[in-house]
Amino acid sequence: MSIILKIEKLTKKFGSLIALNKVSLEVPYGSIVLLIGPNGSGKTTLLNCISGLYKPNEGRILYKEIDITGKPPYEIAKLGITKTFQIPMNFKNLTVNENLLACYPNHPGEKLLNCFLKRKWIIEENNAIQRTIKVLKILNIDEQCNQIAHNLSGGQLKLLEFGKPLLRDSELFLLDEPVAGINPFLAEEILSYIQKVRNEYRKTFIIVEHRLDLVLKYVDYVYALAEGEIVCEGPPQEIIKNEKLYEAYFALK
Amino acid sequence: MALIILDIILDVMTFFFMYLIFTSCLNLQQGMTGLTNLGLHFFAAIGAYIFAHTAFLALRIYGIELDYIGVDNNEAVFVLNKLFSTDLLTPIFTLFLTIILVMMTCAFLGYIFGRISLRLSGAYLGIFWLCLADSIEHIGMQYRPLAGGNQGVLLPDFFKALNDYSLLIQKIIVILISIITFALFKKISESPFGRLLKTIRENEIVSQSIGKNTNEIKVKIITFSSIFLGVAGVLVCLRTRGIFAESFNRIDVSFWPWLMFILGGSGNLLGSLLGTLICVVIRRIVLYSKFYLTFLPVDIIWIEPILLGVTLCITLLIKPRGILPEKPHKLKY
Repeated sequence: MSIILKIEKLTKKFGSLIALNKVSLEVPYGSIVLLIGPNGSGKTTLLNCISGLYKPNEGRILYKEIDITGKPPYEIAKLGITKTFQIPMNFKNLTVNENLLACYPNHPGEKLLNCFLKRKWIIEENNAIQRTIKVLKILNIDEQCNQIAHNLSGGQLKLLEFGKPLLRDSELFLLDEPVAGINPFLAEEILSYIQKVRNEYRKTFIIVEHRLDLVLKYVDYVYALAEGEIVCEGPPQEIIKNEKLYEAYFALK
Repeated sequence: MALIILDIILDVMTFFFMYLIFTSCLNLQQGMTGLTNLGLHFFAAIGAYIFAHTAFLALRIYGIELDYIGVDNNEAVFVLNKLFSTDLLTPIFTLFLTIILVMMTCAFLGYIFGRISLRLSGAYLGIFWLCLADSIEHIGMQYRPLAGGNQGVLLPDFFKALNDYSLLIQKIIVILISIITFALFKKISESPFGRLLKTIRENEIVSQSIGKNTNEIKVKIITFSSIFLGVAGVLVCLRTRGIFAESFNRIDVSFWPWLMFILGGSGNLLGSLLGTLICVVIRRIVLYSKFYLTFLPVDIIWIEPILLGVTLCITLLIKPRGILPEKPHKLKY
């Protein structure tokens, strides 16, 4: 299998508003794909359909040749897809470490009957803690590990948001504006790390981002959306020369 | 004098441990999972109504035909008390069977109504349980074959064979079951499962997006806590030696536990314990000193409900997170 994700004529409507109109795309294994487009073009809607938060009206989503169209979010997450949110959504009254520990997959301690027998889950809990500390150190927020998530700055919340798919060891990362609101140096660091994870662990990324000046040099392929449709696609060096991209951004017809 | 004080202490303790079951269940549902339940008296009433029938199982064992729910209730109690004065095994078996039956029935109903209520949240969920619970209370009060209607059902003394120790044994049973309940719920709160419940409370969508089947977990929590609420209903009847549908009302069985839960600290089991202790002690003080409070401008029967309302308002205004709010879980590394 060279294609990890295939989308066929995906349509999503909200009443009479067509947010996605027969969108088709393919994402190869181990690639970093960028979705760009003006506000309201359907980028986040597409990610939400893939992650199961929205049920498409028409079309199919195939993940590793499995049809995941309309499956609930928790089932899709278990298959290896994790999505981060445009506006960081965390467990605000839990600590940073609890926010990440909750993401640890297949924890035996999360079964009701097991929680009365500590020996059934304590080893895995220790493993989860070790992994959490590692991820926090990578993200440079390990000193905030015992702080309540509510007290973090906007940039730190973004980093915590990125920590979730890392901890889950997902295969497909859906990152919705991962570097929005972060200073350029840290943004470069995160994007470099995304590339490193792709190179070393062959993870696949679909990124939605507006900051083309930062992100273009890290991606392999770009899809440009406008009004729910793909208007152009191609490698980053070609896409920035495509007139259709500028027509979409400046609403020129 | 010493005996009177001991009696009062035991009475307060029994009352405290009984309410601890309700507040522990509320802490698990609302405090940890964010499932609003204003109708704790639903499952307690179900437990009581089942007990109204299983309590007289011994009549069938002894081959005695009496309308134990209706006109022959007094006679049935008299006959059973006489039989139980020389037989400890049958009443213990009856109690054991009652507990098992109540647990199974409440678990089943908890599962069904838990599934039905999945689409609801917040205040709407709370109102759903409240309406369900008030309905079952009124059905119990009106439909005599269920739990004696307005007149209720008197129960025999299950430990009559133990003579003077009967009351003490009943209180010990209440205390033991309550301690077991508290210990189990404490295990949950300190486990990864407890952490998972908090993620549902904090943000259910994010919890789903990290692979948690939140609907299944919510139904599990309602089913699990309904078992203990049903057993608590049986314990209430054991203590009062009777089943009265109107005693499973929203004020006594739902709103007072809510005050205890809020006052003590939402999401903190020790907070629930503290809140329960404070409220039980205050209520008992009011009960024992009621006749000295006649100088108050209200009828003494309304002192407790007024106290409930005033304390709740003050707590919500001054200490909305309670005396012992939930503490963050800190890593040591």
